[in-house]
Amino acid sequence: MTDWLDEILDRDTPESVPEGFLERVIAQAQVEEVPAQHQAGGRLISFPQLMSMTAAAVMLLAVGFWLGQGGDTLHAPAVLGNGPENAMLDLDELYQNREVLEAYEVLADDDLNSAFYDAETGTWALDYSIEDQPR
Amino acid sequence: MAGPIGAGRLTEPGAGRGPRASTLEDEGVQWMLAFQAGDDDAFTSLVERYQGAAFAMLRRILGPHMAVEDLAQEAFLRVWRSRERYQAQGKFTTFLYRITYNLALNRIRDHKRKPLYSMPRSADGVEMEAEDSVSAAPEEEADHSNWGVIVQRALGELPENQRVAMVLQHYDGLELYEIGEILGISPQATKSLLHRARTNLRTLLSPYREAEND
Repeated sequence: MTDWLDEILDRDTPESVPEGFLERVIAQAQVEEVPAQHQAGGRLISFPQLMSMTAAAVMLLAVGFWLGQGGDTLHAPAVLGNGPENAMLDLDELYQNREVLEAYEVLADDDLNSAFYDAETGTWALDYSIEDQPR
Repeated sequence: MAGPIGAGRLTEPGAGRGPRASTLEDEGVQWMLAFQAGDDDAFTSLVERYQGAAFAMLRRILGPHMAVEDLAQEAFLRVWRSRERYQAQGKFTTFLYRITYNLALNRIRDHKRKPLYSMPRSADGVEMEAEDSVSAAPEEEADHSNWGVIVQRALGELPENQRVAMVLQHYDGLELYEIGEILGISPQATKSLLHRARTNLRTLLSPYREAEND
């Protein structure tokens, strides 16, 4: 026996489907079947791919910035000379030495040059005095 | 029209055997398997056959004033996209209604702060004042031309899960376990939910029934 509730619920008439609904669904489904790169104005890269690439680029920039700000030094063995012992130097030390040399260039001025020449002159005078000594 | 069964996936998870014979006899399953095998006309048949049910389900869940065509279209597009991974695990309607219900749920959550059954707006965009949906002159409304509105209003008064369970059972004829699969609850919980839904609907609709009988 049908409950009176079921009978009343049946009085709600079904929703009518808008005209052309089927055609719109089929058309949209077929659009999705076309590869994105062949669509006019379509993207070559999907949004998730773009986000992944952006995140990777940000990570690389962050690492580079961190290293530039004095992060962990890069250590790599450097072999110098052909001697029996291989000299292993930190690249970091090489860069530091280079910085010192560049600093000398940057700081070079007349006073420094004078001191350098004086040192050379003094050395030369010493050599000359040695050469004048009776043998 | 029964379409041919294509060489699609017929296994049920964990069973190691094919699906039940009743599943393969389901018209929608046959069309879906044919679609999976490459017959695009079978997809057209699916839409033609089940578009009314999808629209009706969305309308009853979301109410008379919310646009539902975009959700109905998305439901069938998701069926289209699932062609490769579809598995015949039950009736096709259970598969379609699960998709449709999830779309409706997303729409409900998007409108969480707005009344689900919002009143229509006047020409200048002002929302009309809501009437008392239960006691507003039932003897004036209880004729057969208004019963559709009355029933939809009563369904709108139910909590969302009771409404969905009631719609799936009464209008779509789903079994308890199928409703439970869609809602993510046990058959026993579904039974309890339906009991509360029917009790609430009787309370809401009995004034109109009595007015009609007077």
